[in-house]
Amino acid sequence: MSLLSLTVLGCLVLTACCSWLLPRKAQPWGIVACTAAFLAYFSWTSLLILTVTSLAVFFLLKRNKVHGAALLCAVGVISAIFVWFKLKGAAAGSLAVVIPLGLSYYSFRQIHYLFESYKGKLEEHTLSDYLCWLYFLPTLHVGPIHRFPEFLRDLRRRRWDTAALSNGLERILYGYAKIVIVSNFLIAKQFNLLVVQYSNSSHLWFAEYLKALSRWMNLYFQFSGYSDIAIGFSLIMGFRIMENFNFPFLARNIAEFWQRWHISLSSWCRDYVFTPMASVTRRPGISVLAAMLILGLWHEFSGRFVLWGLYNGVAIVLWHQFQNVKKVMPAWQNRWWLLFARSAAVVATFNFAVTSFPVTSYLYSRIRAVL
Amino acid sequence: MYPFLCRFIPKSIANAVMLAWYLLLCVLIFILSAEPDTGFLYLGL
Repeated sequence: MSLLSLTVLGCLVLTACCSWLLPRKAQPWGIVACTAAFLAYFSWTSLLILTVTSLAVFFLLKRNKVHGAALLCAVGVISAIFVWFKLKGAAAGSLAVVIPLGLSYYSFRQIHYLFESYKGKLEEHTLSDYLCWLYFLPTLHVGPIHRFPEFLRDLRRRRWDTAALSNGLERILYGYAKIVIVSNFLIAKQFNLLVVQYSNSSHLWFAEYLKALSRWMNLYFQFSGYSDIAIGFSLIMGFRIMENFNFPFLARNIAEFWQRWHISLSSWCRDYVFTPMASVTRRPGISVLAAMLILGLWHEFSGRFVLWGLYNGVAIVLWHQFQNVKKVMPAWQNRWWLLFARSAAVVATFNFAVTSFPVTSYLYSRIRAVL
Repeated sequence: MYPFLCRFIPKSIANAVMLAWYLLLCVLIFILSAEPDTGFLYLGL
């Protein structure tokens, strides 16, 4: 299944039409029905899991308000389903075939809902509000992992807005341009010609670097393109969905990079892994490592992603330690030096991010060879 | 981009520029959509 196919686009347009043309009270159900039909067509397993878990979570919380055992049980079941499919996918090798469509996103949304409900931070809402949020087609299969309170606010306040329609259409166009023109054509085709050219020369290390660069840039333009399409369609439907990328390659350090890259996932890990762990253990370093480990495992249940998560986690911890050292160092007064240092920091962070995956893959292969 | 253009050139010309820009993007997307989609679904999310 290609997310660029006309079938997917048609489903998104149909959902947007349903979200406005149906009677007001039926609109959330219209969105749910369109998404259910989409999932029934593309992934029956996903529809089944989403329906069963979402209804179970909703009715469990209705019966047992702010009940710790119920919360833990629900989080455990959702995590177990997520882990089981991830492990199955990792064992099969070809992940996209095995993992139900959008499972990684809606599992984390459900866990967010459970925690917020436990904290008592959710406003009164109906089943249709909740299902509309979970069965929201634009963000179902590519994120962002948007939050329920903001969605509920928009669902209640939304009005037809031609400016939002215009902005939404523009975002969708830019999203498609990023994927088709920049990623599929410029990077995957043209830039890879350059990579092939260097692969045949004596500069093998440079070819490896270019490969890593191509892969990372491709991932960025694809992912941010899909996020743009999701945000664009959401705008058309009257919802302001959180941004997922904020020029990550301009980050001046690795901590800032993770505040700019896949924001919805990194903020999820901050809120539901880092903060609770830091408040219990009082050790921010360990909490950062745990959060980055979960972030790595979210992508794939494998040793190399564990290593990749920890590699980034260690870098963040070291950067925070460096901040403590920096406080006692004399500050640079010369603005040209400052500009140079900042530019060097951007370049270093960019290269760290680009090379993080090949470096950890290499380390992982070495570790496996030794073991 | 549109508010930026409106600061330097008359609004009618900015409108035409934006229209041409969108049209160009649409044409490029239409032509280049024949290229294989590299996708990021290999991550299996």
